[in-house]
Amino acid sequence: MSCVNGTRITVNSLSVRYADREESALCGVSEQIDPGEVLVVSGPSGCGKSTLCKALCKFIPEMIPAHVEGEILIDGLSIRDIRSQQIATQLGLVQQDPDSQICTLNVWQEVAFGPENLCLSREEVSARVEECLSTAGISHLADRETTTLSGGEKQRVAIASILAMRPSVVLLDEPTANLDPQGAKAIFEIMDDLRKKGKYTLIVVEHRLTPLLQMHPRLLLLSGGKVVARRSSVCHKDLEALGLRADWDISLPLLPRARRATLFVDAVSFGYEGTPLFEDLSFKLWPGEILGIIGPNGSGKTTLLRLIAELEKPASGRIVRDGDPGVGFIFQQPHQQIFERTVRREFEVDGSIGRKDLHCVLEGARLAGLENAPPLSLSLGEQRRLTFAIALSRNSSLLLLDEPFIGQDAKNVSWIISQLLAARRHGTATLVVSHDIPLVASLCDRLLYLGERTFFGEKDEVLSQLREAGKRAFTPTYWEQEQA
Amino acid sequence: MIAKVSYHKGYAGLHRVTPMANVLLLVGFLVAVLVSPSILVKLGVFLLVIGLLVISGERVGSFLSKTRFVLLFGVVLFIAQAFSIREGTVLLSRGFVVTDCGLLAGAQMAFRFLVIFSSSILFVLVTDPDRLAHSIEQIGIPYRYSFVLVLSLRFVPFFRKEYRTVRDAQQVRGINTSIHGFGGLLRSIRYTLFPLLVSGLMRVDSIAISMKGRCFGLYAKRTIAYKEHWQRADWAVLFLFCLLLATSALARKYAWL
Amino acid sequence: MPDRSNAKRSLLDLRELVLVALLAAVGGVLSAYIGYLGNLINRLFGVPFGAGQLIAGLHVLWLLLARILTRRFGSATLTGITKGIVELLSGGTHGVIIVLISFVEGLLVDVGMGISKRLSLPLTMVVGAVATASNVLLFQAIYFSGVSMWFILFMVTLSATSGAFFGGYMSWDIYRMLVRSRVVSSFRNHEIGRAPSSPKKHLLTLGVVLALLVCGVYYYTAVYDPFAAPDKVRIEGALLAPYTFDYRDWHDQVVTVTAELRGSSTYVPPQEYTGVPFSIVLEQAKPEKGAQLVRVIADDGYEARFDDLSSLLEDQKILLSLDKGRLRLIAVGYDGSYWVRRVTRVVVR
Repeated sequence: MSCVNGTRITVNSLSVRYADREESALCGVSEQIDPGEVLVVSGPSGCGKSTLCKALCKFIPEMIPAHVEGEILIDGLSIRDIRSQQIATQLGLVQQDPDSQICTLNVWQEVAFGPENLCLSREEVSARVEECLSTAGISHLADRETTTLSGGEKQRVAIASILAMRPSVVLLDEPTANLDPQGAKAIFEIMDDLRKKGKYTLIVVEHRLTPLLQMHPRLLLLSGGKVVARRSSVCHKDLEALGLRADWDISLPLLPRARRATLFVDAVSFGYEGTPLFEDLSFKLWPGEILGIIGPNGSGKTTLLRLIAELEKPASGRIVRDGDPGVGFIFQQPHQQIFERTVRREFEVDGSIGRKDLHCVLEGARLAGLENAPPLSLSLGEQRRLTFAIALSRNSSLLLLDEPFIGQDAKNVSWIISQLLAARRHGTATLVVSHDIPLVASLCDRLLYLGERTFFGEKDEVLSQLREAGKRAFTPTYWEQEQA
Repeated sequence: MIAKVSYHKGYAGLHRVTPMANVLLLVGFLVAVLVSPSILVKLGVFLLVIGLLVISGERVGSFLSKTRFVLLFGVVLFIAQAFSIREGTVLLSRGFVVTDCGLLAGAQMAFRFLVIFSSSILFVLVTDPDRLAHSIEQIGIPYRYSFVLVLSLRFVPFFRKEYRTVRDAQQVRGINTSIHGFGGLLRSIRYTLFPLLVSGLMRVDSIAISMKGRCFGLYAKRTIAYKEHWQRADWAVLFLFCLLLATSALARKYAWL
Repeated sequence: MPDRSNAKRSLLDLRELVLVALLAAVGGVLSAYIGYLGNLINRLFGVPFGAGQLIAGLHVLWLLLARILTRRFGSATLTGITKGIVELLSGGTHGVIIVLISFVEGLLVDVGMGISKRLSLPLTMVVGAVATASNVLLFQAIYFSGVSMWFILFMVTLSATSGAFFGGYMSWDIYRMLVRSRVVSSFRNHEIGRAPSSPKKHLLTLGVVLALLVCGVYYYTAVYDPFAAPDKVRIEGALLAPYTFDYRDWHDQVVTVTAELRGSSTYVPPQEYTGVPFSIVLEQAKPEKGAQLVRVIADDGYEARFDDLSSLLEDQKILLSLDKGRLRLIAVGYDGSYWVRRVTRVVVR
């Protein structure tokens, strides 16, 4: 469906260099985006995808200091002398982290926020809010407090609040990166609905491309700030040819039979404020085994890890750990477990480490020479490797990983996998909570699905149970095979 | 340690008035106990606060049990004043001196504290923070600044969760969260403050982009889609406010006990 | 789209407002944690309250950070008010008073940091100390007006020291770390300047600042009495019935005398003075046997000492007179230096 009266964006030789960096984030990008089309921008972390989105909306350089060369034209007019707020009624940006873009306490107010700023009449504000809540499929959430929503619901609120500005171009910057598979699926469906309405041009930054193929997008592939590939139409085979389909073919050698389980979760029940999360949950984890924990937001995946790490006590049942009492725990965001001012001191937080040992560990984590660097000055990938290296340096028999792959590029994910496989060889048992279903399905020996029902067992068995139960978003097929 | 109280939805008494009327009432209570020198007035105001708690459907028993620590502090205030004031007729002299003025001043301060605390709790229990934050915009404070409160309240639950995660991360790394000496105290503070601060600062750009991307600050004024309307209950609160002011003025002028 | 906007240039830009909101939220959330630490310290010292002032500077840390990161006047005050309201609405133990305390702390940070354009550690520490100490003085004014000045002095010193360290030094240290880690690189002008490599270099400055602060606080708490009622005098010391003299209650005792004032540099020719005889004022307080010395003290700390109480009790000409709304000792027959203006205390020993 074509959009006759939409906005045409022309980008001419756009280069962007952030004020505090030496290398350019974008180098001479040129592109024309026509009204009504769907453009998918993809590429590895740091390739300039987000920078392009922010530059199109003029948040760069207006809010984030950067040196910008080249030109961006909206309907033939340069945006050089226009304020970002004036572009906002034509281009709307939905960002990655739903928690960092909602700024009021109630869903209705959040969607009304933009129209209120436009000084529209109260009637007009109400009309826009009702319409956009309905488009995003969240009319039933209108009176809810924003803090009580799940990640997927928050992202839908963010989309509705951008639509309330009535833009003709909607930019979505990795809108599903922080969401559980069910939430991500809902976002893909909304995007498809928007496309079908024919009123919007969609620019989507995404690395999980398979679910987008049904929207017949045009593809722009960036690397190192440059356009490295363009496809006017893209299919499943193109993704494979361009290396955009993460193919985690991991072989898991058989584990030697152990006499004692590393972890025994015995009839554990737990809940918050009278709402049970799980009841009579039982399983054993053997040395070297990797158990994947999947399920929708709020189903108790992180809580289970906290129970195992003895940060919570079960309401009933018991959790028995074999071997040393310590566990290696990797949290979702690296900054949540970074405390010190240098990398070396970070290692010394829970005990001293010899100079030689530190050097070895850092070398293994590809952080050599960064002993005295402030940990927070490292890139997100380096920070993740650092927290991993610290957890592994404790030689615990049990590793707990809470969403370790979020925001990580393929290189880093490969490094994490190699570390987990090495730990597996040494008999370390691992629990991985992740929304990356294809990766978990490939990496893990067994799977545990927490939700309205609990499924536990060999991965093939659990995946087929999920398929039968209609939970397609939790099976690799949804993420790897082109939709009908 | 005092158990935390927070707002919950209700439909009785002060729950029905606009947030600004509740602010007015709180100011009235404050003026009454700070301006009036009378113990009787303070006692009366304290009873009024308890009465309003009952009318607003709050349980006084639960209020008292939650405020045991605070009542203890009231006693400490009373003792501190009673022992340190030496004016007046000496009632007791055993190495320390207790005078009638000291006892009176002690009672004054203890009641002052109790009224300030209990009226604050009443305010918190019956005032919707969200509506309060938006009401500030309606009384004429420029929206750019009044919105800071909305934004701040929006992030309180988020940082509470983040705080729990950071404490978990400390515990997992074997960092002792109890305090042994100054070094331990310093470590605990640094390891807690810094990750939370970083978490906040990391979000500044995306929140600002989200707001600017929806035209925040484009015009000097903005539409207020949900307006608070002054109703009969609000007039009653206004009357109560005036009554508090008049009583405290009279108490001061005629030096009531 | 045409620019219909008429928004004026604001004190703080949007990112700075967001920063203020987030700092207030973090500060508000962590106040419960700081309260918990305070209780632990109290338990450590075996006192019910008070020792928590050791870490009171942590409440000011956020305000200092707001001011340092934005470099804008008003940012600390706005952070203070918002943090106070967040704490109030979270059901904090101080109730609504916390809004006032946070506001005053923020204002002091804004004003203090405005003294110099250049950011420096000593200034940050002094501002942290002063802003933190203000909480003790406000509490004193509201709840502890009668307690020992030495106690207040001790608490002020404690909180100021905490403010200098946990407020000033720590905010500086965190700021330096944030800049080095590039977490705040995109904010306004974040050159670190000549950041000190070690706090030892500033021990001397810190010592001088603390000494000045202690002297200042001593003067304020033990000598200067700004909250004294203008027409009242506290009569205290070796007395059986100490009380506060209120001029309005003594109208029926007023007498008029004629006297001249002869001072070392001033001379006032004979004129009429009306007031309450000082002897009656002293008698009312029932001086203990053996008491001799009488100190008449003004609100600015000036005092006159009379060595012979009995002669004062017999002298009907010395008056406490109302002069421009303040009480003045009309010491007829004594040198001009005994004619004390703005009398607020009389101490008998």
